[in-house]
Amino acid sequence: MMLEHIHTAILLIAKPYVLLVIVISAVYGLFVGAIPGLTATMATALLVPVTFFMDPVPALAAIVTMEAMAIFAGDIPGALVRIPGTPSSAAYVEESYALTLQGKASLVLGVDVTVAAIGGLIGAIILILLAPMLAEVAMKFTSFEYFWLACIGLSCAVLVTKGSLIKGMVSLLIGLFMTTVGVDITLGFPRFTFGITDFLNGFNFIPAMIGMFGVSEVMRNVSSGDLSFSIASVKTEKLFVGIGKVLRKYKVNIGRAGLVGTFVGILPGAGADIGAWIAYAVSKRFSREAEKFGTGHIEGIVDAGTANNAALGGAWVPALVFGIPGDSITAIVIGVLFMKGLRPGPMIFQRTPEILYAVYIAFILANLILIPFGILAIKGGSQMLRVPRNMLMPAILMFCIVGSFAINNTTFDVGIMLGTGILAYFMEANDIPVAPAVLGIVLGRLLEDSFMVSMIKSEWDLTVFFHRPIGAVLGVITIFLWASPFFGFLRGRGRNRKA
Amino acid sequence: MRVSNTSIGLVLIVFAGAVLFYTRTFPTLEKGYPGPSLFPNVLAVLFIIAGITLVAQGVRSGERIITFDTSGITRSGLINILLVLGAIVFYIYLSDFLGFQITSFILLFSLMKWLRVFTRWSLVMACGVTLAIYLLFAKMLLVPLPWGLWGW
Repeated sequence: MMLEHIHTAILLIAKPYVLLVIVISAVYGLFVGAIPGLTATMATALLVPVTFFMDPVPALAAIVTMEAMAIFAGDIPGALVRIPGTPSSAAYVEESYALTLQGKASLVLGVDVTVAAIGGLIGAIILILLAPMLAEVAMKFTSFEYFWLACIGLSCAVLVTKGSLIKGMVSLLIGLFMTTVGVDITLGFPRFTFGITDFLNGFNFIPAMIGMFGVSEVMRNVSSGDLSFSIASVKTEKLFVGIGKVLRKYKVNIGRAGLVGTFVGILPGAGADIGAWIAYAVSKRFSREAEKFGTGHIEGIVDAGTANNAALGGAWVPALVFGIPGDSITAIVIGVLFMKGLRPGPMIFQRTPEILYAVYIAFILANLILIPFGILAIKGGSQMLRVPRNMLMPAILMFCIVGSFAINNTTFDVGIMLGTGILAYFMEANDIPVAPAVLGIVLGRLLEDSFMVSMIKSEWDLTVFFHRPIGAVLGVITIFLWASPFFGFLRGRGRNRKA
Repeated sequence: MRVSNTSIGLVLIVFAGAVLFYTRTFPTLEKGYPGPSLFPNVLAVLFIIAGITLVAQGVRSGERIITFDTSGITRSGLINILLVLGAIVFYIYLSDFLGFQITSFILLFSLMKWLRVFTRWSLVMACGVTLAIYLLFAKMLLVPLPWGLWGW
């Protein structure tokens, strides 16, 4: 049975058209990842208007390949110009650049691409093993359990944000509130539409994502006057010299970082960037040479570089099994699958398993071709960084506009893109993270609908959420998550008093 | 462009107040159970709690209530941002009349020129990008981009 699915999936992937899509997405991912200021999430938001018109298999394969390439390629400008290409490379950018100054840029980038591929494969293997097991459990879920799951996902998204918890919560509330626009589930009453018919179906998801990740990024880029970098040069002839030694020395680190990264990826709201920071911290904590960290020591790079690519596979676990995104990229994917009438969740394991297996195979394939494609990107890295951003930004803006327009062929959506772009720009400028808002937008309807349906079914008896054993467990976890900041607060107070 | 925590908090509280006021016009379910207004109201209450916390944090840290810090951004950077936003508005209102090709060319050329790209390069890139987007969206993905004046 399983072999049959794998066979079907291989046939679905091995079509010339799908392979061409994979190659183009790989190049696109490397390019976007290598340009500082363009993130993997932005790349996804810009890719979506194109994949929207494709079948699910090439569309998902395109996103999986693109993200693997982009997260690795973010390391290239980190080593060459000391600016991370994507936030996921930020944790070890100083370390990479310090090694570059010692003339070891080719070693750093060689290690980066190798551990990225290994990390990606670890994440993919855990995804392949874990997802079907969790799906068995998820088969038993009803609207009560989905309500709690949505609560857990959203709470995690706030709890894992860097910086102020309150600002994370504000972000989440903004996202959730956006989903209240449109016809409500109980009475079909149009809420907050103010007579605008385009609003009846709610905020259009894709233009909102393009605004939040594309337009806001363009605004940030043009706001800094200086649009060019000074670039360190790399000799790439001996790219893989000395790598075997590094890999052998740090094999335990690679395995550990793979697990840490995947686990962080599974947590809703935490993705590759947080995975890299945590893996770097763990690496330093357990290192025998902790004093060398920060001075150009490869160990932290091995850990963090493995973890950020491993997190990508992890993020797909809750996304495919429960429809709860693990990071911003899978949030966009889920939003798009919803629009195409494919509801992620345990049912796809039964109804369309070939799509699932195609995602698995795409993951493995993407990480295998990461090495040859990555080497080409490293060789062309300096050239990519020379692409002037003052030409690139207007082009990206135009792409954002047309991409938003393309979904429903209306300039109203371009207006949505403009509004959400300004909103996200202001949010980031004031340290309000955007990721919780995106999760809110994706999960808001699920949260409200499952709550209202459960309430109407039970005639407003709130205890039904705890009647079923799985629901009760999930409910207790949710309440524990909500209480955790207060425990932290009380503990902090106690400590202050003692001091 | 940073504003104070206090003013973010105040904006949230005012917004939530407006939501609570407006949702009173929403219908309720049978037997008076809350319907369409429940979820927005719960969110509004949470907005108020978050808003009060932000105001409290702001007051405790002794910041001025209204601060509008643009120090992180240069004057030309601000103009660049406004032009980017203006370009989107221009597209929304004029693309139907001018058509995609003309609107796209004008926007790309003027933005690149403003961002100090050489005229020759601006021309080449504006034409190239317009053509590439047109081929990808209109020809391959069959999106009906507006023809406008170009179609005459």
